[in-house]
Amino acid sequence: MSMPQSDLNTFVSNFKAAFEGTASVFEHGTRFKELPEWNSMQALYVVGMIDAEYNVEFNSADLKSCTTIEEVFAIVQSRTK
Amino acid sequence: MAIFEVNNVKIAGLSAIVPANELFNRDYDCISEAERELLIKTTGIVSRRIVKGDETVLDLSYEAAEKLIAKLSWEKSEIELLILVTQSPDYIIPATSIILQEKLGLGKNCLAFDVNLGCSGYVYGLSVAASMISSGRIKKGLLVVGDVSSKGINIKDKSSAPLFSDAAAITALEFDESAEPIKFSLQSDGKGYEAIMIPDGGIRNPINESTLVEVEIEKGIVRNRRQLILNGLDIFNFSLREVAPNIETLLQHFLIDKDSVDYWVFHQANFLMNEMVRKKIKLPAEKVPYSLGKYGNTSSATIPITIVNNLAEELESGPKKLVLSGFGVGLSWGSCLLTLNKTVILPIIESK
Repeated sequence: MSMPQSDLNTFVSNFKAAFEGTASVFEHGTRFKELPEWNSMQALYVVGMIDAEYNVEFNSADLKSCTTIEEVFAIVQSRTK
Repeated sequence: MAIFEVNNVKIAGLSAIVPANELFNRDYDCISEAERELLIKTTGIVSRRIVKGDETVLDLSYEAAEKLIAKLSWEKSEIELLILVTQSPDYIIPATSIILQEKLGLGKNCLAFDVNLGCSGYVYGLSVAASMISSGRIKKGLLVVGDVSSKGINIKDKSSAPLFSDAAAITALEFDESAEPIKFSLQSDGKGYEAIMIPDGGIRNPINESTLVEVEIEKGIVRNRRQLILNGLDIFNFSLREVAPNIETLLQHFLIDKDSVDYWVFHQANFLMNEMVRKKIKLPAEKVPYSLGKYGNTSSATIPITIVNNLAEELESGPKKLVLSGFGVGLSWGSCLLTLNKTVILPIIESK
C-alpha cells in the first residue's frame, strides 16, 4: 500500500522535530541511527513523538527492524486506525 | 483490575534515608559530554546517592525506622506489622524484614514479610499494609520500602548506571476509624518481565561459571548476568500506554474530581516520561512534584522520598489529597488516592 507523500513528509518533519537543535538533514531515506546525534536517549524522543502525534506504540523490536525514517513511518502508518 | 478501597488507616508518619555519598551525572565519563547533557535533560537526573561499602537496605531502613518510631513516640511492642518491599534483600532467604524486626527490637507478635516489587512497590505495599490494619486487629505497622540498586548494576552500563540511587523509606500506619479511605487501582503484566531483570541468581538460572563474566552488549553497555538489564525504550512505551489509563480508571471508578487532588506523586524514573504522562492526564505542573533531579530512581522509595523532600512544608498546613502512581519492573503498576492529615514527616536523613 503506497503512503501519501504529504503524510510521509509530515512524518519526516515530526521526526526531525524530535531532534532538538539538529543541523542534520532529514529525508525519507535518512538512516537515522547513523546520525551523529542518535543514541538511546534520542530514541525516547522519537517514540514520544510517535505516541503524542500518532497515538501508536513503537517498541524496541520495531526500532531494531528499521534503518530509515520511511521504514519507521511504514510501521506507524500500519498501526494508525 | 484490582480496584478497592481500604478504610480505617491513617498514615501517621514518614521518614526517608539516602546515603551521604553523592555522584553527579555530569561526571559520568562512560559517555561523551554531549550524551551526558542529553541524559540529564531527558531523565532529569542530575545527581544520585550511592552507598559506600557494605550498607544494605536493612542498614538504611533500620536507621530511618528508629528515628521515625522515636519521633512518633510509639512503643515498639505496639508495632505488630512490618512489611519490607525490596528487590535487593540481604539474603536470598530468610526474608530481610524478619531480620529488621529483630534488629529494631519489635516483639514476636509483630508479623514481618518481604514483598518482591520495585517501582510499583510503594503503592502495592500500602495496599497490603493498609488492608492488614483496616480491621483493627493490628493497630500499628511499618511499611518499609527501598533498594540498594547500585549493588546490582554495572557502572559501565550507560543504560542503567546513571539512573539509579540507593535509599529506603518508612511509612508508619495506624488504625484510625476517622481516617479517609485509601483507594487503589492495581495492575500487572508478566509479558513484559524481561524489560527490567537480573537474569541469574534465581532458581531458573542458577549462578554458574558464565554468570560473572562481563559482556559488552553494545558500545557503552557492559554487564554480567547478575547485573540489571533495563530496556529503557520498552519501559518508556509501557508507561505511556498504561499509567494514564490506570489513573483515569481510579478517578472514574471512585468519582474523584481531578481538581480536588492537591498533588500527584509519580514514581521518579524519567522526567520526559513523567511529563508525557502528566500531559496525557492534563495535570498542572505545580501539582506534580519531582525529586528526580537530586535523588534519581530509588525504586520503591521514590514516592515517599518525593513526599518527604518536596511536600513536607505544604502538608503542615492541613489535610492534603494525594494521588500516587508507581509503575515499572514486572511489569507492575498501580495508583492510589489517599489523604495525608497531620502526618509526621522527618526531614530526609543522610546515612554515613
